[in-house]
Amino acid sequence: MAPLFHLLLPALLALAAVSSRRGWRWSPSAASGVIAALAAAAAGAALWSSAQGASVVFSHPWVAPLGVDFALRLDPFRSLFLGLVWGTTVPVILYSGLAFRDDPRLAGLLATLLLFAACMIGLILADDLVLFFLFWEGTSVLSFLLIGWNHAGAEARRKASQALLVTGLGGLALLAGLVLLRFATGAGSLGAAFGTDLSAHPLSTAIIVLIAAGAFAKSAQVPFHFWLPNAMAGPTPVSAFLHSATMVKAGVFLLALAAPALGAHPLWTPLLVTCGMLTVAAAVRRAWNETDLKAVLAATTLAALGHLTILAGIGTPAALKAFVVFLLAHALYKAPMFLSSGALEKAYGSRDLRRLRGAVFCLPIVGTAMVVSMASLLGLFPLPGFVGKEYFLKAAWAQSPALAIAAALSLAAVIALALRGLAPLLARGDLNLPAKSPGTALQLLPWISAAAALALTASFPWLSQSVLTPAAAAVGGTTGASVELWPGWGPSLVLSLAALLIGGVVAFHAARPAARPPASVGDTTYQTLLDALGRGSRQLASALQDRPLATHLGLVLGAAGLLIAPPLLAGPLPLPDLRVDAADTVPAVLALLTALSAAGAATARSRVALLVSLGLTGLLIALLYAYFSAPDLALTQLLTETILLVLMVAVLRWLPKPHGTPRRGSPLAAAGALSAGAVVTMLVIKAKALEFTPPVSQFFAERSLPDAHGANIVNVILVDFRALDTFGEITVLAVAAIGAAALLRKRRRPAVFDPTRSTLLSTALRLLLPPLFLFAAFLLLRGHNHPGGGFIAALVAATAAAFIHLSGRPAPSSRLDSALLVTGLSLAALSGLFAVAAGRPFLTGLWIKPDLPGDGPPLHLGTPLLFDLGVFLTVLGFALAFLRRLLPTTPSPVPSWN
Amino acid sequence: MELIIAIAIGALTAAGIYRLLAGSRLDLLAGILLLSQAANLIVFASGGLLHGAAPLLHDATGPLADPLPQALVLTAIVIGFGILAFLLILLQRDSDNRP
Repeated sequence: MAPLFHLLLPALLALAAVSSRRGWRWSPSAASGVIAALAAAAAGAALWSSAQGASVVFSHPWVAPLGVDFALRLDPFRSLFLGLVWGTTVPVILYSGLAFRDDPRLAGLLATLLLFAACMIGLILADDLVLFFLFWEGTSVLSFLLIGWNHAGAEARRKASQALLVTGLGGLALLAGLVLLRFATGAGSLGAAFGTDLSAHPLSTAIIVLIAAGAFAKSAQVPFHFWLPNAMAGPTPVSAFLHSATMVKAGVFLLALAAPALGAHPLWTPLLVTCGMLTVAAAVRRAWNETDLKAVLAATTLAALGHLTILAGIGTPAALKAFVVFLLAHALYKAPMFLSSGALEKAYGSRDLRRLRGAVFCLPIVGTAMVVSMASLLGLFPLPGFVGKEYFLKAAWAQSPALAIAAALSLAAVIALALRGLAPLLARGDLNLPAKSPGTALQLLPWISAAAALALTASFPWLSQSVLTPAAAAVGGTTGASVELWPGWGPSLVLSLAALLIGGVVAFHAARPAARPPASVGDTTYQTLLDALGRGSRQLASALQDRPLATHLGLVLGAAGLLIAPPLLAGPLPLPDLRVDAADTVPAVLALLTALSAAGAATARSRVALLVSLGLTGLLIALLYAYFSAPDLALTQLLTETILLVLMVAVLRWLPKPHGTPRRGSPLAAAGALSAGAVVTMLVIKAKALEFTPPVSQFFAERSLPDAHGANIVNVILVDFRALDTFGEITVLAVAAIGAAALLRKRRRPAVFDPTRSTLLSTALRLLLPPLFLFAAFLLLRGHNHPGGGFIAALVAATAAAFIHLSGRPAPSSRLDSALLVTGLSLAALSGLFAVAAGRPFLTGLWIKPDLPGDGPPLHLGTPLLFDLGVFLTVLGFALAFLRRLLPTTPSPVPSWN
Repeated sequence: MELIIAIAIGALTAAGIYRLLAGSRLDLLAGILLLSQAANLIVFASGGLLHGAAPLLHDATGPLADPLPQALVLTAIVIGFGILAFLLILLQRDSDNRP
């Protein structure tokens, strides 16, 4: 349970942070104190579990079908990282509480920092590949929020999104790498996947490249190094926490985990060592003439990450042991340096090194913490930095002396940069005095980390025994010997001294030009690429989308055609049966007439011609349905066509001329339309030639009478077998009616024709009403066994309603159609709930057979009949809603009532 | 027989697309109507074309036409009707907004 505790604690602490309010007893700064105390306890727990040496696994099935577990692992190597995260959390939270005491967003900042800590801890502990990736992405997103914390500034936003884009792209590469890793090993856990030597696997090269890309983006290695200096736009605690101590270590953490499995591959060492070296060089070059204290610190962090990458690249047990020592040493000296820089910034109101001259002497508490940490960075005996450097050079020397010399030179470059950058802080004479005191608490804060560093150094045998040696062993750095403070005389010590000497000489003898720091090549390339991407997208969008509707549609249809046509033309075209039997004369003529009237609709030049062709087409299709044994379809088609034509006539009168008349399409459109027609014809012919498996319809035909007591299988499918689909459909209709109501408020328009002028028509329409409504009721009742049913009955009733509109009677009120919609949907739902009450799935048909007097056929009453009634009412309500809005009302002959 | 139905479907599709591309609001309406009819016929034809075999069990003597495509097409006709009615509302709204 220990891993779960470490994962949940920061999330709970984040809740505690957001629950605080300024001005309450539980204020954000009070919360920060409590949180820091708990974090310190958790850091202690992490060290303790490291000293236990065993690894604890917590696993719970998560997505079982995919083999994804919620698996956490706590071994000494992870304990070390865990201790680092918790250990850095303490001063960072305290610093935030002190420095932003009066900031209204403090509670949010604390909560975001703690959520980040939760993700980081999850990343460290996750043993499952998917879980690891999720936490990895979580840190990227939270880092985006934290870098852009001062989001009022455009520059902060740009830098935050840059960090997100770069690490996000790296995350994609990592995901691909992890998927390949899963394929290659079949293992879902990191431990099992990296537990075997993969260097000979055919996928290993791709895995290395992808995982390295993800890790390099996260740890800001060349060629993705440019985002880290920009990320310093965030507040000081954010820089100290994310971009020095924790998140940027995630990449090298992954590389160290992967080193035992992939280190033997010929690509691994050259790739990692080269990129690590280049990162050191780029960092030093960028910051060489920098006058911003935080930028100098950021550069040394970048260089340290480069060194860690080199060590993971060497990948030998000795190198991994050096990795562990170097990692801890770096964290111990870098956190106090960042916190000191924050205190100095608070005091001087600036981070400019020229203004901070002699700051060490003006603020001695902060100054001594800075100097001690600096000594560790330079690698002076007996500080942790010295041990880290020593083991680094030793591992490199064992690999090859040339590599060791290169490593020493890179260390010398960092030493020179640090001395050169930080020397002004120690300058004597011509002091700048701080503008105000930063407060004792803020000054003491760096000493929390610095003192921890000193205490750990003082108890080095214990540190080595309980933390460093087991951690190195857990990551594969078993060389038998434990980590020693004084490694003895040897080539590494000579190189280390030489690096210090060279660095010192260069730092104090190189000229300091007043030139601006050079622009980062990576940053400019990134910006150019991003701009080009934006420009290209805009151009593409305006080329494709910013056109008249017809052109736009043409592009979409053309693209669809290009996708469909080639596979269709690829296979042999089955020769269709060309013979037309004498018995098929009727449908053949109907189909040909349909094609002809479609052609008429295409070539119509006036709206009357177009409407007549459309109506004719619909009628012919209805006849085809009727001929080919689909009476329900024929009725539905006929009725919808009729109502649609009435509605179209009514609306077209009010369309402005250019919109309400058919136009002649371009020759290109004609060619496209003809080829689309040809493609669809071939599609149908080919589809008919396919062998279908026995259709599910067989089941419907067999069960329709015994189970659903209905002879009209189509209706039984609609209201019983597939009633849920129908329920969804009538819901869509109801929503469309609501949308129509929102779009169009009723307004008075002059009538299409004035029925008062044609007594004959008006009387005929009135006479037709009662029989039509009766017919609708008849169709509804017989629908289960004969052609008819709710849909068709509703359409007949709607036709009658259209007659009401046309005959000049007062139109049905708007209450009626909403009442019909609500009642219909409720009835349909109610009919389904009976089954639920009986413990069956929603909308299962339930039947009763009441005993009737007489010898008539048995009567079956069931919930599907109720459902069909609901369908009828909903469709009628829908049709009325549209009729009422689209058909004009007749101006009343006597406009006296209102 | 299938060939002639396929040609009719192709003609409906071609007419529909030509109308869609012609550009006026009325053309848009007609195009969608024709295309939805073509789509309905494709689904309907996929169930096989039988004469005098309506899927009504009381009068059944021989093989029955496939009821499933019919049920699908029936709902498709109603939904298509709904779409066109809604389109008409949009057109009317559009013409209301113009002088």
